[in-house]
Amino acid sequence: MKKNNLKISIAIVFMALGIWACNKSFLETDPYGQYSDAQLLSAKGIDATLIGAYGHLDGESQFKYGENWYTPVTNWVYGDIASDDAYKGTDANDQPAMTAVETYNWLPSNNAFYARWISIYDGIARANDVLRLITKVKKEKPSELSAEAEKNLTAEARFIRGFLHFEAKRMWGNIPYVTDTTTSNPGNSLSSDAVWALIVADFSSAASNLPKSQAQLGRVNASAAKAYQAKALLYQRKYAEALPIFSDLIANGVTSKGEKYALLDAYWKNYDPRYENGPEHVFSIQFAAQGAQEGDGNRGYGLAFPYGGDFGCCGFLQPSQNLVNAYKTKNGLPDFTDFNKVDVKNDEALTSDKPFTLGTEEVDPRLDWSVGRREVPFWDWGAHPGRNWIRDAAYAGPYSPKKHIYSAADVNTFTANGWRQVTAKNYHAMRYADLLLMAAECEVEAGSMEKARQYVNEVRTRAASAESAVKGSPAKYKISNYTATWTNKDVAREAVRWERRLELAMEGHRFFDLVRYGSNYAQNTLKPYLEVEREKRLYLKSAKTTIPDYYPLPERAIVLSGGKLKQNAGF
Amino acid sequence: MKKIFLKDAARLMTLTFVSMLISVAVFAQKKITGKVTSSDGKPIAGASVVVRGSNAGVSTSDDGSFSINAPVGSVLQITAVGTKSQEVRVAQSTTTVNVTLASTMSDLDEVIVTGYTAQRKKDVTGAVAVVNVKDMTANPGPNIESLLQGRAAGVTVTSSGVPGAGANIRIRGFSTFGSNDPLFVVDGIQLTSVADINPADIESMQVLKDASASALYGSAAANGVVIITTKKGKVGAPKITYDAYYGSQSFNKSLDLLNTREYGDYLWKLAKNAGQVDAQGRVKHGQYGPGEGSVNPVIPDFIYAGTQSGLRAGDPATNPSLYKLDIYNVNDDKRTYLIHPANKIGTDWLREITQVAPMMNQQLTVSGGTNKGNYLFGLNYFDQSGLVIQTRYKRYSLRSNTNFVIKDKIRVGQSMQINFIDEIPGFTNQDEGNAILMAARMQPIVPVYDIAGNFAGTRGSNLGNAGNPVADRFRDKDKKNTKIGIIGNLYAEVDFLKYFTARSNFGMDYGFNNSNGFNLPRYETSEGRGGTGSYYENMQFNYSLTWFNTLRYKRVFADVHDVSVIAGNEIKQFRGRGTGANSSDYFLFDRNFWQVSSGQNPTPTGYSYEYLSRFLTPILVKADYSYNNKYIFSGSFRRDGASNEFGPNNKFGNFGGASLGWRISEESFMKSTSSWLDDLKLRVGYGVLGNNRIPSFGFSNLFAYENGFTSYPINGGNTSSAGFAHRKIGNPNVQWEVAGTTNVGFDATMLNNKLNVVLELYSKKTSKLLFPVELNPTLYGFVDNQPQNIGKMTNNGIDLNINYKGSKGKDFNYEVGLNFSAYRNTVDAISGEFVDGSRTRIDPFNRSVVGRPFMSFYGYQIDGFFDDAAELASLDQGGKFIGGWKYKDQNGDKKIDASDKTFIGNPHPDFIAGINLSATYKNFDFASFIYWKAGGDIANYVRYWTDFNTFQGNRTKRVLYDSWQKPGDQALLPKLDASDGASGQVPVSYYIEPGGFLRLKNFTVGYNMSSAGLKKAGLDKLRIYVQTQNLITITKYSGLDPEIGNFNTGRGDYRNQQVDYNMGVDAGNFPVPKIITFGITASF
Repeated sequence: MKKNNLKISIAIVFMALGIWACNKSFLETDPYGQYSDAQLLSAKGIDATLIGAYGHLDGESQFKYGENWYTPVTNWVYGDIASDDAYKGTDANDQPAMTAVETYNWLPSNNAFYARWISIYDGIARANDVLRLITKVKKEKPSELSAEAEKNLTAEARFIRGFLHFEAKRMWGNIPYVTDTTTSNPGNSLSSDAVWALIVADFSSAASNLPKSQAQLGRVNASAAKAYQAKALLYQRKYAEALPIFSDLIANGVTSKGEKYALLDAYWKNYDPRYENGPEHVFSIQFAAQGAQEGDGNRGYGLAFPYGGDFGCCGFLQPSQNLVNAYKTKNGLPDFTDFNKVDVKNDEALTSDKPFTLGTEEVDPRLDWSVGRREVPFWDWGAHPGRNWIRDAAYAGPYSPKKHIYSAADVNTFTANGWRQVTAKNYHAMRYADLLLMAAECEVEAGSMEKARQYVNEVRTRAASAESAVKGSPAKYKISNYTATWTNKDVAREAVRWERRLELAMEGHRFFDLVRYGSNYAQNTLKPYLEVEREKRLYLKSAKTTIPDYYPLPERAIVLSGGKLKQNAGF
Repeated sequence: MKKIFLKDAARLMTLTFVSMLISVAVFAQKKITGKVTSSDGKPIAGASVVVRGSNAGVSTSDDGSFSINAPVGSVLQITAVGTKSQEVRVAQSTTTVNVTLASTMSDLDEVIVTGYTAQRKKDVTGAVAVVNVKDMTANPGPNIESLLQGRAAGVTVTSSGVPGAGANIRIRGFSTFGSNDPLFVVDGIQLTSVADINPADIESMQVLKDASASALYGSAAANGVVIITTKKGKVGAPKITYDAYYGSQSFNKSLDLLNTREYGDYLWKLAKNAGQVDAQGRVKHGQYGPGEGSVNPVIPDFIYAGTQSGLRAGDPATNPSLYKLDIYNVNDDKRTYLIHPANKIGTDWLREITQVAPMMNQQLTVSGGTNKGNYLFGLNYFDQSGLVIQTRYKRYSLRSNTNFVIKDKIRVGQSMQINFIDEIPGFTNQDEGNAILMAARMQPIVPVYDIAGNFAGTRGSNLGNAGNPVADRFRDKDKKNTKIGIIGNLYAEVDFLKYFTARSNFGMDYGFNNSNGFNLPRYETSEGRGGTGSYYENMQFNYSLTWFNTLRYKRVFADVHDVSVIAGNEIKQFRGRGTGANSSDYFLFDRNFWQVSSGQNPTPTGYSYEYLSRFLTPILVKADYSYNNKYIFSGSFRRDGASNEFGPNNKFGNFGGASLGWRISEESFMKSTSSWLDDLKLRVGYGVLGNNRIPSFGFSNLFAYENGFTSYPINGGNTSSAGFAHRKIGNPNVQWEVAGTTNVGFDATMLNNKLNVVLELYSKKTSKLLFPVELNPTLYGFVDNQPQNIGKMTNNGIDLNINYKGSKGKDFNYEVGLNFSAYRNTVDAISGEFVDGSRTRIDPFNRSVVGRPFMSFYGYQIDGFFDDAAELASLDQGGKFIGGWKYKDQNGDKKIDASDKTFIGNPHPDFIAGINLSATYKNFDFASFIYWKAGGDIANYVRYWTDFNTFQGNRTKRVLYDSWQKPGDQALLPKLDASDGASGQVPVSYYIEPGGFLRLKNFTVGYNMSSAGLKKAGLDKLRIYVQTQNLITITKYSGLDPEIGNFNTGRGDYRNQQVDYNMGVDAGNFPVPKIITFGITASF
């Protein structure tokens, strides 16, 4: 019987030995749902990575704590709220970090700046991943990638890299330029000119290698890359270099669809998702949202909806009285000097149940697409009810933003059905009107002011078309073209700049334009703006009136750079 | 491979059962019978009688009798709990052995499980803390993790009041930047948590603290090992035990927040000091000064009506007849018109979300056994409601442990617990969205309910963006998290060739979770109130399988050389799958439609995932040798491989330890001290362990798809295309962390076993520490932190345990115990200059640098206030103003920047101590337990919300009454100024508070009914008791509770979940309640 014991024991011992037989392969597992470099070494794999890079053009944040509002490509915080176009909105102490941006109390520790920084440089890293994978495929699996595919993929990736560096450049001024061959922590010691040269090089390389049109309309084409090359030159005030490119684009530029650049017949169609990727859209950040599909929706504006009606929340990004006043016209033209002396009549003191009639001022019709104000039809939601949609009128005035707000007809077809503030509305990073006005700037500097006047009038003609007015609006619209010949460069320059403000209001450009104009233009515009506005918006009494050209580099980015990044002067 | 695994497992099980059926012959030996009695003549049941140096052994029956076969010349060892063991040599003539065991309180002969094997306590040479399970589990509590606090020297436990919550257990300091959680081994199965184990099922618990003790667990043991053995039936007739208690939990501390009037004063000071007034000196505010504003704050009668805010009584907008709430159209002002009155006194939100909460437990156990087998069955119901309303944890568990002895040579058995856990989700501890932080973020002017009895909230102007926490908890009450868990183990053990024992052990830890809930519109809040209802349901299962085999050789040579060797191997596999779905657009919110399929969303979303990871141990071996019970040696070795954790360049690692013991009291020169010194042992040990709880696949470059972040509508239409983006930058050299521990221990038993002292000194040096290095985002973008093995850390410490058992007369017995532990942690090396904790709304509080304790607090030191313009001009500091904080200019360059940050606190305690006092007098028993954590700072991040010009929540009284007003003020806080966007927006010394505390954890009075009366009632034993827990806490900490656990923050990155990056940061912590409990124990 002892034998039986032995047998069992030996069986156990042998089973134990069986574990020995589990050799190294027992320990070979692969992660589920994640891809290694090796699995992406094909044209298809590289393209998926490229789509990943496109996917971050919107800048949306993957942080946990609501930094989404500080990161999107729409720049509504850094371009609109920081300018004279808009207030932060809502009520006091809602997103204090945003109030700090609005009041020029810019501290390097403000989380907003770090969120935007990571968002931009993450996109840059993704574009560089594409370029690195291309290099790797060429070396390890050259048959996987045709010369044609390599050319296109490289050009698109370089455009995205240039686009994001451009965003960083105008935010912070002194930035590091990161390429696919950068391996150690990059600093920002390169001169501004050198960084601009690298940005322009990315755009021009993309422009010469990209196809004229694209089967998939979300992809960038050669014209758009050229337009950005010219825009980058314009930011350096290299008007003479930018002008021929702009002129060429006005003559020959086409959209990714292959349509010749042109203004849409109605101004508002730029803000209706049904007309996206039309002839006016030089480069758009694409958004998609429909029912439960909301991942790629435009959520960066999420807070910037009226505080009532179907929207309910949260009342951010309210247009300023100054912006509304800027739309007043005198003989159909802007009133450069006196526009802000008398306010356009508003309902700030009234609740929605008290009667209000709109003023009889003559205004540019673009006002009522850029600003939601009482009694004017607000998309198809009926007349804007005034106070009912405003969170705290005493704090941030009576107006609502409008361009990015969805209409009733958009619900569920162009919005998510969970959180409707996630919409399908594309962000037009550059549209043809913008391009025309940039060309006009160059023409003014070149002395060809009549050409500039012609471009400006082209934009105004569209704005004046019957199609462009808000249907059923009780407002009194009056807009005319500049008929007198432009002879004075300063006047012409100012007219072009005004046109930019009116045409592109609330589209994230204003603050960067003010700084770009140079000669203290930002300071000279914003200081008087604050002086008037702070009597209406008492919290602006705490705004600083010395306005820096660039935002401070985020402290955290400096720390993580191992000291390679240097802070901008003055912070 | 999985197939092979299962096939082998099946074969093993078949064999196990077959082995039970095979009859086994008895060795041709001498049969010896006898009786074991105690010194007072009573029979001792359950005493163990074994043949020394072999595995042959029996237990005595109820009348103390036994029968055993033993070879002539062998030695019978007779041991019983609480007695001094005896040895009797079997002579040719021996047939009967009657022994009387002298009573002793020594437990040196107690056999304790130390992993794959068991040892007598006096033979242990490593650092092993034996927990007094009886004392520990006498305290009501959901699990043993939280009950372990203060019970073992060298073990730091931090728990919270969340119902059913586990605890952070740290053994001998901190040894990694990753998970410092110890390994739990329950009946031989390795587990990562024992939060679900029923405390009443636990028989014994040992904490292996040093490398020589835990080296057999190799790469899993660096953080220490907690060995738990569940109860077995004892020899004797079937016995039924019933235990029940009912407790009431309460909490009284508050945060001292402003009332409605004070909040108005605060707002006016803010605005006026910032000059935010109009020409008439009026302040505009949506509630206290709406419209044209007001010179002084005026409390409105209504905070919200329809769409208006800050209204007076009589305003037509507040006419109750206008009120309506259409839960399906809460944003449509034609269908929903809410009227929220002002709470003119002020709502005490913390009071509103807390309650006196019941807690109860019922336990029924049936057990018994014979020499040939034993059994224990238990049924338990535990139900704890939380202090925070609508938080609850219920657990039903079933226990079945059986063991059988076949022909004295084969032992088979199983242990198993099946749980069903049912809890209300929605409270995330240490999170800014939880009810406790929301209670601080709600203004006092907001009432809980509106004029119609529906919830009121922040929907009006200037009320902030917090959610009404009462409403939120109420809406979560029907959400469910349920879990079915099975923790089980099956073994077979065979003795053969006289000195050998083979064992095979198969264990499983299986869990199936289901969570579901319906989200109702939050109609009363300012943000995120809309929606058409949404529903989610998630299910997942996961399991771990452990299979190990060991072969043991045990023999005594020449009566003095006691040799024991165990060798074995092991495999483990973890696997899990999960799936879930959600939908929205519900036509009705009725309970009957709470399913994904009822959502009218045409495209509900779903997901699934899986994971697999494996560990292989080709060899583990341990050898013990003792010479004449005097000199003891122990050594062990283990080789481990891991699939997902260890990089391709380091698939396997070797771990081991050795220790020596010297029982000085056995030496002849110690004869003179034997009158007072019963036992004295010196122990020295060293070993090297690993930590395998490191990030999976840290060695690979990985790309992943993430909807919305890596996808793009590339076709330009309203649909999306998937893409990939970098997620991880791999480090192919990643490997386990290495911990080397040196331990010196003294064990002394004195004064006729009354006084017992264990003193240990240790030094634990961990190297190759994995750092989740935050890669420079400028270069790499948004990627997971990369694990790199470049860090070193040292923990030096002392553990001391003193116990004294005494008596006075025959009726009064008492026991005094002290557990004392202190460690000093130092980071010795890291890559780069520092490692930071996780970001919250502001920069991290915690930072580790070389030469400092792990995760110390780092920030600006406040150096008074800027009292005047001259002072203001003297220092370049961002956001400065007169009356604002001045930061200490550490480098003297007259400019405050990141280089002026310094260390402003240390979260590590100076020492911790547990003091146990208990006594019995006649039929009464008393027990008390005091826990003392001395030192250790807390970063009170709750102050970000309550003490600074941040979101529009409530503020503390400090803000209104202790802010700077004029030069020379010795104020706590800076001048109130609406434009102040700097104060408190970075870690500063104001956040840091002393976190030490002394707590009366337990005070119990019990009464044992006299046996005469009980017998009549058919009862063997009946005890009733009253107990209080956490009755008194002494602390300087201003927050709710100085006991602060880990929190989840940062990116939704798994690595930030369980680590100690944010140790000592209070981010909205669920306080530990005071509990009064009434209990009863009966057996028959």
